[in-house]
Amino acid sequence: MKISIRTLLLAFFAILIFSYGCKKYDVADKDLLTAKTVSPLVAKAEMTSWIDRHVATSQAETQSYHLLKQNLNYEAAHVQKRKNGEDVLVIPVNDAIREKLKLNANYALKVITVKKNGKPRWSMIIAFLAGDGKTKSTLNNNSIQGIVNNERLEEDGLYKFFDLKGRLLYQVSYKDKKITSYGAVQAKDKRNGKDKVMSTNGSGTGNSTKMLLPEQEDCTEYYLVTTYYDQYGNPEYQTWEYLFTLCKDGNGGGGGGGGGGTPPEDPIDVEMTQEFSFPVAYTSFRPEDYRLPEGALSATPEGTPLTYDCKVSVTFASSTRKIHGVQAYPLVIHPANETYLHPEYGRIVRNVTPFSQSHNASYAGQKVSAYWTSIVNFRWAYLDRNSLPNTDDLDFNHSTSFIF
Amino acid sequence: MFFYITMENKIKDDYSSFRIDIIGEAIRSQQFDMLNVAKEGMLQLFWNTGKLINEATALQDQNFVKELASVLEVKYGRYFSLPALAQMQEFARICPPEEILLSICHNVGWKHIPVLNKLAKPSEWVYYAELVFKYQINPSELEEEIKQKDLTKNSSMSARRFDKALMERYRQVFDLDQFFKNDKHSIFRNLFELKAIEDTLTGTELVDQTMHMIDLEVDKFRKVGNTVINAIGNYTWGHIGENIASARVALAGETSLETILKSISERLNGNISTQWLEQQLKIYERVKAGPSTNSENNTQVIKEGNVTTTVISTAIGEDFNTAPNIYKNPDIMYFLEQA
Repeated sequence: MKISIRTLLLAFFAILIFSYGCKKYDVADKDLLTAKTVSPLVAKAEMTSWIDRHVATSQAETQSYHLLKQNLNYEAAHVQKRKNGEDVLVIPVNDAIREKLKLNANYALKVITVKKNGKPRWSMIIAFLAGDGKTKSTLNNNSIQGIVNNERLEEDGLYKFFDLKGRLLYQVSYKDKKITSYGAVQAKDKRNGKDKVMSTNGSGTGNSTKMLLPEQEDCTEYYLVTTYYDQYGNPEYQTWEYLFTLCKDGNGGGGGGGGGGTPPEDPIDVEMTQEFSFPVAYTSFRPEDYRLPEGALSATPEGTPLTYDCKVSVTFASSTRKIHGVQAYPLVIHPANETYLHPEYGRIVRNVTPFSQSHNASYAGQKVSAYWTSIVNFRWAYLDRNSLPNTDDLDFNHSTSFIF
Repeated sequence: MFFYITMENKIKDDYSSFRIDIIGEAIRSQQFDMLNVAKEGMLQLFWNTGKLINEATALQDQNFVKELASVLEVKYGRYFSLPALAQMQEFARICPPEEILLSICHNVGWKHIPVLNKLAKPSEWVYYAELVFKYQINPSELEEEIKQKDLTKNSSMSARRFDKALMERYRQVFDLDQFFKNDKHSIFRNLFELKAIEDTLTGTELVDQTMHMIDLEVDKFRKVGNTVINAIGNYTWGHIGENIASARVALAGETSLETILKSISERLNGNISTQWLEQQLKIYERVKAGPSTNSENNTQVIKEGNVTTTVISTAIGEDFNTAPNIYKNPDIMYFLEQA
């Protein structure tokens, strides 16, 4: 068979392109097919032009933008689709930016730029530290999709979000797919004293070194205020960590760097949803509800446990925490079906069923209120007795309100 | 707080029917929760749109609104026609406080707004919006009530109590006819479905600026609406699957799963298929079978006559929180359209 030089050349280029394509993505990225390649030159031109539209208001900002432009890995750039049809340009970031942001080597960093009709709208640097933070992290496409589309994030860990000049916007940590902390940058509350770092439970003053500036009326100190949540969504404690000081004349310093200027960006339209549970223990035990504890020597009957789980979700703007929507979910009772040993009647099967439910959640500002009402049907069937099941209906009412 | 109420004979006589009925009720309830989110978001969108136009018309004459409407109607349908934009402007002008807006959005549909626009005081808005929800008043009845000024004198209205069936209670407020009109091509779908919004340039700077702001509001409405509806859906699939699983355990020995599913479907006039219901059960069971520290095994033995059935189930607990995106069932629109 005769093979022409042209065919050989085509084959060579095909192999070259294929191997280049394979190199571009982390093999662990499961949803590679949802990402579209983008030429490094095009990505570089777009990002350079976009960053140049950001007007620096200080020498530090000029340096930050310059450093970013020089440290984007354009070779690994790709484009994803957001669910509302917008494009998301994703570019990994080199180590120099990670060091500038004072993040340890295990963080994975990428810059995302959301584009509408080909025009950039806003950008963020996303830094992700997986799990316990002891291993090198990977920020995969699924996580980016989850962030820009407000879907449940599959990867537990700490996510930090910065603007293009390296200023922290907010951060959120997940454990077991639940939000365990949320932090955002806030100006210092002057009511609590000029130099006092506040903490609601008296702990956590942060680990940044605060640079002492001459006292100026026009200077504002900014802190990372982080609230930590338990498994039900209840706030456990809050920490205030000094970040930086901004002065109206452009001076400032300390912590993680200053801000300023009017960026050409739309507001970051990323939402998050946080769930809150309000379990209510059933304590008004009927005679049929009592059971003999398993393996207990003393046969003192106890009420068979039952929990009414009332749940609310709050959807909010990730960077401002402004509430966009709240939702109360139907009452869930568990265990719904339980078999236990009654001291007098033998084995009982208890079926508990809520019906005629009504629930609602509303919000005013940052205050969320919710209620649940239901009739709860109890049915006790006697496995060791030849008698019909006994039934009863109880009313359940629960309401709650909390500051989000 | 708990207190005992009279036992319903129906439950005592036919436990199986009762369990099946409440699954149908749960499905209906979740469908209306989703519709309510869409409806509330839509009212906020219209209020925001009215506010943006009012701000822009402060700088221009009303001709600018005509130009805006001519483009917006093509883009988003007749919700954005010139008369509708005028209603939105009135809505934003007369009902300004955001907190009041939120409570109104919960209680009324868009068709009530032109009637409420005739009220000057926000407190009157709140009063009549509550009446709309409480007594299921349609827009023409609302107009009549406002003329009469005193609802308590109207015996026919007072006779309508809050204890009607859930679907009937919500039907008027949700404007369902509008929602489902023309099936997949309804103007609501056009407005609600997540898709890219194209920039439209008219050459008039103020129109283009206002259009861009309205585009952002529409995009926000779609995103938040879809997020919340997906969150409800995400929960709903598990909740329905859980209800079916629980009923199967409770009715073991007397009613087969096949009969349970068939009966639920029949109660919903066949709009929800048995296959769909079975899918929800399987999804729920698959998630329950996953690793969980909260599960506790529970074996139940049921004797009915000569039949003995052993059913192994797990306690219903926190798994929904840790469930993977398996609940992200793509057929939310299908689910809504069966309402």
